[in-house]
Amino acid sequence: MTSLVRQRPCQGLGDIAGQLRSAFEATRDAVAAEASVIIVVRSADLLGQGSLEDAAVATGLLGLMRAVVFEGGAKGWRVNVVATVTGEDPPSEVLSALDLAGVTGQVLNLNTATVGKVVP
Amino acid sequence: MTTQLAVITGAAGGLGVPISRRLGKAGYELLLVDLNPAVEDVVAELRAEGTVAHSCVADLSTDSGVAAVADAVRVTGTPLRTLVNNAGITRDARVQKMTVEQFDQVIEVNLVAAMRLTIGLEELFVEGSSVICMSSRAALGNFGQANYVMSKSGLIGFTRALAQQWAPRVRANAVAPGLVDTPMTRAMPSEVLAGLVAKVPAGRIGTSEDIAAAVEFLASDAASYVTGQTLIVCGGRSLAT
Repeated sequence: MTSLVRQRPCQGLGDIAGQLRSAFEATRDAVAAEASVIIVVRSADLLGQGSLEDAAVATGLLGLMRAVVFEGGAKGWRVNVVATVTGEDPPSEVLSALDLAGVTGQVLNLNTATVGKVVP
Repeated sequence: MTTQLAVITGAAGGLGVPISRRLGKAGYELLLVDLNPAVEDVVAELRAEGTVAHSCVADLSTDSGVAAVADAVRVTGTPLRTLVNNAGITRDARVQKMTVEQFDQVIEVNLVAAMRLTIGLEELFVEGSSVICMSSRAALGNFGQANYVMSKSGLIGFTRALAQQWAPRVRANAVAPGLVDTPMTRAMPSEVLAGLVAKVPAGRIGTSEDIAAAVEFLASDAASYVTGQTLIVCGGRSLAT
């Protein structure tokens, strides 16, 4: 079972903590239920190409993935980040491939326009 | 250089003092900000060393706290050249045991308050200014610190966006310290600390001076072509096994 946790457009400074908290809680609950988690973010936000708030949330979600895998990777928690062009859900083939591969703690960037930019 | 102002938050804390001292010695006039009134003692110390320094006790989680800092900047009459977003806290717990309060406090203080202050000071920055956000090597992952990791990782994204939105007038960079000799690390069992140090390719624990030197560099004209970057100051630990 795969659970998707999605970045939403941020409504301002006051929305940051709530968005990060709800993502944290959804991820925590999913790994407790032995589900794998895909955190979907907008790739441009990982590079800070959008608003200040969206950049903070996107990279905060990247931190969420790393923190959870750091703590639970060895016990089977599987969390990955998929960065898409607009934050849309990744194709089902990608989700299936990640599930089959059994990887965790990785960032998969599906936006080829960010080739040549820093690795998030 | 013409006297310019550096604002340092969390200035009464473990890294805040050496960063402030270093920038003071580099010739900056300082405005030291902290929620802790002990910041007044730090100002007194630095003044005794010949640095022009002012204090501002403020709660940066509020708009009024940000306004107090902006007012204090104006009162100095000195051009604002550097902001170091250094204020930070930890509220550690494992993922399954972390409370909403622990989570929210860390995100608010470490990430949102830094953003609020930076945005609140926007009009005061002069041409060629530098914003430096204190992230952490922990942004790459750490045990029992999901809130902290997310806040420090979020600061990196904020820094990247700020660097692009405020360019070319203001540069923005982040510093991500690794294992540093602080009261917190000194409180660790010696064998635990020795094990951590053994994983640092540089072969030693970092010092607060190592971090302050990185901040001074990013604040200076020597870094005038550096913006949107995160400088990981960890003795190579972020690469080693």
